[in-house]
Amino acid sequence: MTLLSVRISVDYPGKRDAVDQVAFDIGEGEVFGLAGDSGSGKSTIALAILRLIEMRGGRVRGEIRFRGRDLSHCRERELRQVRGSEMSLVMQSPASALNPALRLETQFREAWSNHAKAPWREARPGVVALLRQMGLPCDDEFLKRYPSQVSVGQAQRVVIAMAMVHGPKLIIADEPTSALDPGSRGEILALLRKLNLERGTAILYISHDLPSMQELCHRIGVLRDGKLLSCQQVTRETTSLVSVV
Amino acid sequence: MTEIPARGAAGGSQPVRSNTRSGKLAAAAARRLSALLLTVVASVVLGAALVRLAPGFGMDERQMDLRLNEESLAAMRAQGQSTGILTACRDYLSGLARGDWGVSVALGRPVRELMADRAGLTVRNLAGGLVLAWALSLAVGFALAVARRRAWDTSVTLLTGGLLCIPTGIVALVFLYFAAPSAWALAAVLFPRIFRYVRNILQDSARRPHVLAARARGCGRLALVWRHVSVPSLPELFALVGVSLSMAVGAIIPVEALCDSPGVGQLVWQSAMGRDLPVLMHATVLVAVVTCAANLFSDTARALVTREV
Amino acid sequence: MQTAARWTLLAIFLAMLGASAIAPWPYDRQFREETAAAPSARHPLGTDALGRDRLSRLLYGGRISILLAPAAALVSVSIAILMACGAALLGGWWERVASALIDLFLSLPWLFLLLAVRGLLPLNTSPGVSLGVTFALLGLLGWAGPARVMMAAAKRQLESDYILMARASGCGTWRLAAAHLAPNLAPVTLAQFWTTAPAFLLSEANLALLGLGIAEPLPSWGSLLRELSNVTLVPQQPWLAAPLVLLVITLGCCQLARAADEYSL
Repeated sequence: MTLLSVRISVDYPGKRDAVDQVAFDIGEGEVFGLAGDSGSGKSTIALAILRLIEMRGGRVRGEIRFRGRDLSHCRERELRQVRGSEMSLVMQSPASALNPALRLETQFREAWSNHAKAPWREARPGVVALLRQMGLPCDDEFLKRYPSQVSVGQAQRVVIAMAMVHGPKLIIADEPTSALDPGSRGEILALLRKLNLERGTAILYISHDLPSMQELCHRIGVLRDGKLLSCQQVTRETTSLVSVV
Repeated sequence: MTEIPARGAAGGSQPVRSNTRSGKLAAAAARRLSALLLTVVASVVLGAALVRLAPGFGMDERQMDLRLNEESLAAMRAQGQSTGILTACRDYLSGLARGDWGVSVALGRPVRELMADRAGLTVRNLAGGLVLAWALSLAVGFALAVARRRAWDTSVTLLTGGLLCIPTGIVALVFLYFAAPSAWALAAVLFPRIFRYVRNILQDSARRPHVLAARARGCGRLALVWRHVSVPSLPELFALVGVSLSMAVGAIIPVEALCDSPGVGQLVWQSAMGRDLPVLMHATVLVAVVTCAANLFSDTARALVTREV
Repeated sequence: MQTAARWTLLAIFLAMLGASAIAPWPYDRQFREETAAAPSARHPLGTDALGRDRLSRLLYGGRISILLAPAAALVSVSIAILMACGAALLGGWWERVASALIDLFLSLPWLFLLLAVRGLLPLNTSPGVSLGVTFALLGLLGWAGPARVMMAAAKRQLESDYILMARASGCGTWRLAAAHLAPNLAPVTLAQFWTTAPAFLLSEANLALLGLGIAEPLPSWGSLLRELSNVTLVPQQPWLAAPLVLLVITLGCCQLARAADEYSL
């Protein structure tokens, strides 16, 4: 079952076809990797799918079909309903993805109330359980911290937790491990794999690090200069699968 | 499937930093206070130096009187020139400490009295003008950030640009023509300047990555601009408060002078016209003190509000 | 838009420079029989209370304002660049002293000092002296703002790799400053100049409106604006506002002539 079907080109002012007719599909529960060097258009695609590229001055041409809906012609209100609830974004730098002036609990609360009518106190236990699953401390003290008071690895888990609050079908992860130390890197990869296996969440995993992608992804597409060069199935031994888990 | 071990407890810094934080605040406050004292001294020295070196020092209208003969003129000139810069400074500083602010040459009354009489009105003018200008700047800045319409942005930019081209005095005269309060004139002078700064701060804040991330979580427009753009900009906005006070103090002289509002600003202007040195010197020192105090306040407020440790 | 603004500025500048050629009358010639006259063919902008031709005074005044504001700005920016480069290159204690000095100058109420000195000039000061003193003071007191910006820019430049390479190949400090640092600071310096010159134009106008501008009979745009202080007259005699219009156009063009995304103070 195709979850996301993308056929787009993206223009920036002064640079036409920064992304040139890139087309790929992601099925339900699939982990699709997009590899490429810096400047190949990876982040542009990530933002374009969520129609956030307009914030950076870009313009999307083409079609983005998500669960049967064409996002490229949706209005802002409909897009806002999709963002964060059905499709989530995890960015490269967790420190800059979190508002430095607000406590973690406030930010979780906002992520919750963006899409749910139920009051926060009803949802809080669920979120705390989510934190536990992410491997984060789930006491009140942790939630009262500011982003600057947690480590980078923890911050990235918090971002992923916030992305999972409404159980989205697809996570777009734009270089989620590039800003982390090697130890945290392995943990985040394992976490993403866990989300995919346990919850069936599809992942669009964008990175320039091929080895990590070969561990995590079912298929990998290679991007260069805004063009998608190839799409390959990743073959793995079942044993390496178990050892990662 | 094994649980991923929590890395939490060991990592992350503990919030036992209230000691060092208040220590840092105290140190910063002490630095600012010493800067204040230094500025007072420096402005007195600089002012006295400039005034002493000015071609007109030591002369007054009496020397223009043709009836006086050459000897009296020479004697007057000698008396005026005999005060050196350092002596003048020393006299003023000691007078300041004693509370004796000298006597106005033009008006014949103690400077302190003159200032006290007029201070109330000036404070009201300053407060009114600043509050109005800030309220307008924040409201318009916020509205533009929420609306996100280029056409509105451009028109407001052109309007404020136009206002910036008009000399303060002319703005004051316009308000005088319409018999409007001088606080409004001050607000009209300050608004384009404060608004430009506020707009830049908000725009820079809106470009930060966490705003994009919040939007990716489906955050609504109003909440986005309030919680993710405005709140993190509070430190810079507080810093701007100090700057805006300096701007207001500078603008109050032409505004009060031309709007005929009898405050300290008008007094300073009249003293400049009447070449009344004691009043000018003390007004300069007063303004320097107020400016430094304002900077001290806004620095401290900014430090208290900042979450960057 | 930007080019139009630049051409307009150039046109105004040249017109003012050629004031002695264009102006129909000398700026201090008084037509006693035609005081406060309305515009006519002889006097396109009328005459003022002393019977002097307004158009000529506008042109001559423009020459003074337009030549001296940039000159004062040049002084300020030169001091600023010397301070910035010197402090950034020498570093350490010197830099701290320079920073403190800049902060001090920025918090000094320079308007007051300006007023004080200008006010204390004797009544029989020659116009030339008052002119020189006003603009010299502006230049000497106004360097702090540009200096702060340029010091930040200089420090940033010094951290770049090409400076490291220059030092690694044995480049001396002075040569480093002149050949490597200064050219890269040119854009910032230019931007500061374009901010400071209009600011000085405005300051002179404000001073003159308070009656503390350039002494008579030398005109400047500021002193011409003084005629507007009789506000009730203006609606009946709109030609009085000519210097204001010209000033606003000039300042507006200065803003537009800068880079399009730099609509900042």
